[in-house]
Amino acid sequence: MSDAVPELTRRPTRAASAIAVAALGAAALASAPYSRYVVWTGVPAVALLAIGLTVGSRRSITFGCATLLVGVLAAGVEGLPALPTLASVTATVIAWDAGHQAVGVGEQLGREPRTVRAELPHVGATAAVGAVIALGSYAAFFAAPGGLPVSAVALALLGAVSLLVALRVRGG
Amino acid sequence: MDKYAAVGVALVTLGLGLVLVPEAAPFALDAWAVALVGVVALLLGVNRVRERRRTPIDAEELPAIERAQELPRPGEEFDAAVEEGDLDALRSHSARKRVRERLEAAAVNALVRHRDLDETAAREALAEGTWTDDPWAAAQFAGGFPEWTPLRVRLLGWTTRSRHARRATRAADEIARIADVPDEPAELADAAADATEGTA
Amino acid sequence: MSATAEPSEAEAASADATGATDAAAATDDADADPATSDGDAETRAGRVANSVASSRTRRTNRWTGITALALLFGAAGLLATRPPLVLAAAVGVGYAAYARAGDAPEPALSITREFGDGASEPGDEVRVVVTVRNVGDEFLPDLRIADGVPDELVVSDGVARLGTALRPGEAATFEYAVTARRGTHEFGPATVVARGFTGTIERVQSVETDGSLACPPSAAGLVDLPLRSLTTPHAGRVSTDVGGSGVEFHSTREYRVGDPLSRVDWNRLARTGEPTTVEFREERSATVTVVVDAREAAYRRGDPAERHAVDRSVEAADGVADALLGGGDKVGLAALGPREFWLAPAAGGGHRARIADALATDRAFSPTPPESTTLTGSHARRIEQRLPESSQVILVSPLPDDWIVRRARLWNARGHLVTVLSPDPMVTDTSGGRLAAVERAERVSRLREAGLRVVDWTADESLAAAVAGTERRWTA
Repeated sequence: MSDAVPELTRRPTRAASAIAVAALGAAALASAPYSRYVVWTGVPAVALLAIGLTVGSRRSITFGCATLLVGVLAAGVEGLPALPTLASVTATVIAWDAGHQAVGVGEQLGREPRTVRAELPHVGATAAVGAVIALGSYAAFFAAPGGLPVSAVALALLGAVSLLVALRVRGG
Repeated sequence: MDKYAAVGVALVTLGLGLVLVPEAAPFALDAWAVALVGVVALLLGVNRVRERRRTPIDAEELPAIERAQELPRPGEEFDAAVEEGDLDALRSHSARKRVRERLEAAAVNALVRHRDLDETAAREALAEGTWTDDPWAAAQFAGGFPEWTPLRVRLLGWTTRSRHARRATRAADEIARIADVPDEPAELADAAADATEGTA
Repeated sequence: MSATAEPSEAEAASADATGATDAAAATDDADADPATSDGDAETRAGRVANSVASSRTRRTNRWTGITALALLFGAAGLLATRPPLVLAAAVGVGYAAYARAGDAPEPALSITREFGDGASEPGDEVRVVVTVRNVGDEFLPDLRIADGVPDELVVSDGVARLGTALRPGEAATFEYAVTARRGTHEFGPATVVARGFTGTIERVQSVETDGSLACPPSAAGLVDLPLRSLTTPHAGRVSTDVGGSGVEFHSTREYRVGDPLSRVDWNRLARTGEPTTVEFREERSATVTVVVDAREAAYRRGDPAERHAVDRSVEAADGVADALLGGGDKVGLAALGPREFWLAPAAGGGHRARIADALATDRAFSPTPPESTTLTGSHARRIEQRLPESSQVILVSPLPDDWIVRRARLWNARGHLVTVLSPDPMVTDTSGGRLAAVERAERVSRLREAGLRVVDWTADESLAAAVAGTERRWTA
């Protein structure tokens, strides 16, 4: 009696992959009307992400998202408004996270079993957190008083950087 | 890392304090201070990117439950020794010796049983390389390529890195051929039936 | 047994419930499960957490580098004096804080299995339905489960894995099918991987579960192994050359007063008028011990989809014991290896059942190989000491090394005539496999030269065919 020996397809799962591509596409579209840098980096970014999600390469996913971020950065230096900047950056982080979730679940469980319910809460939480932070920053931007003394700003910023260094320890 | 956090909190508080009480600033900073912070941030950011690139993402590997348990295949230790390059590593005398002895025993038995030689004649044939026409297999027991080896094969031999592995593999294949162990399982059943007819 | 998702009532079985029992046994009505009695009225099916054999956490490092986003965008914003970039940096800061706060829950799960119809024959598909219920009070947003499918069983349909999220009290199910193989297969612990929302920390649990699948060996067909001429003075099967009142025709002799009329050769009387009596070969029963080579070296598998050599050996031992006992011989059973087993030769239906039961359930004949690989010289000696003097030996072994050949020849020389039944785990697609095949063929030849009979049983023929093939050459 010779049974066919089954193998799992360990490639990234479909649901999270779809969300990742959609999010990165949205990120590109949010800023594309304002800057050609975003247009130029948007297409290769989505392509790299799609390739990474097809073969299961984490590096490709990260590179793809980073490519778009570089474009947004360049656009921002040029003068991209606040709302598209925030939207693009947040959506890119969501895409990056969803892509890695897809790869991780695919490696552990494969494409065959039902896994959607393991992917959605994670991606949903990332999206929710991102939305809250983005909106909060935007609100703070509007509410902040103008004309702060430079020394105050400099000290505060240095403090923030120091805090960020402290945040590094645990996977930040 | 708590000192960074403490320093950070202190500086932010100081900055906020200066916002509320602008006159308390002991010195005036220009935009260059902000730019300096920017440069520091830039360097740190590049550092973080490098860190990300070298940190692997860690996740548990779930056991392979779909298949039956992995059990060794017959002859696996030989295949493993050949593939892992054990035989060609510099200090692997004992591994080569084990493989050589195993092959020698099998070769002598095969020659005695299937070629009708006696043991002494079999050992001679192995030492001289006359038992086969595959130069690599002959080299396994003759200590090197026999004289009749064509030049092409000798040249290839100089350039190959896994010499010992190739000798051992070819010798095993040759011995199997002499002993009528076929490559196809279907042939094997017939061969077994034939062989059993012949033995007492 | 409920297999659908339903929120639990107010009773939340506390996750600290130690002394966990597998509640499935109490409600499972499939015949394949061993029933464990559960008289505790408070234990409700599926409400008590299975005990956790091991639990550890690891960092996944998946959010590493998010601060790079904050720092680089912040730097660009400061150097180019563009506030929107600094705002974007705040997003990075927020995510970094979020990631830092991440943790992994400690799941408290109740994992129960239901089996479809019990396996009646090797090769049948048995459906398994697994229900996972969150009996703790934490929400588990990212739960990944791999069931503890027994080592020797292959999943033939569906997947034995699931990814899900469970609210407290919620349950999820998944199902798959395995192909039954002879023997008792224990389901191992399920592996559960749980992450929090952030995914920064992963907790891996090994959750103990109960459940086993037992399948009797397939009827190998009566194997008619001609035994050697060693006999013991009981009526039985082995032909001797002494004429008597057995079953097989031997010769005729002159009628003597008192011979039973049933043995008179009536045909001859009608033909020639002479009364003659037919004599039959006196058949005597034999004492046979079946020794199964159950050392680690014997657990070899050629084709990944096929059974391993010890599995086939056990099937052969079962068929041989069946045939011999059916013929009136006395049969004993022994396992040669670190897990010892001995059953002295005897006859009868009860004994037959003991042998079948041992081959199906005893650890010595388990589908899983033993841990120890030491040479079993002392085990072999103990078997030799216990062998009855007149006993023949049928050795079932794939002949993986020369040690077993020496042992067989030793026993043969001591007067226990040995027949070897050897399943062949053939591998011919690698050089090592071919070399092993050559060595094994040499061992078979050596045994035959020493006068032992060897049945060489390849994977693609039935045992009966293998025996029939070799029997042709054996002298009667």
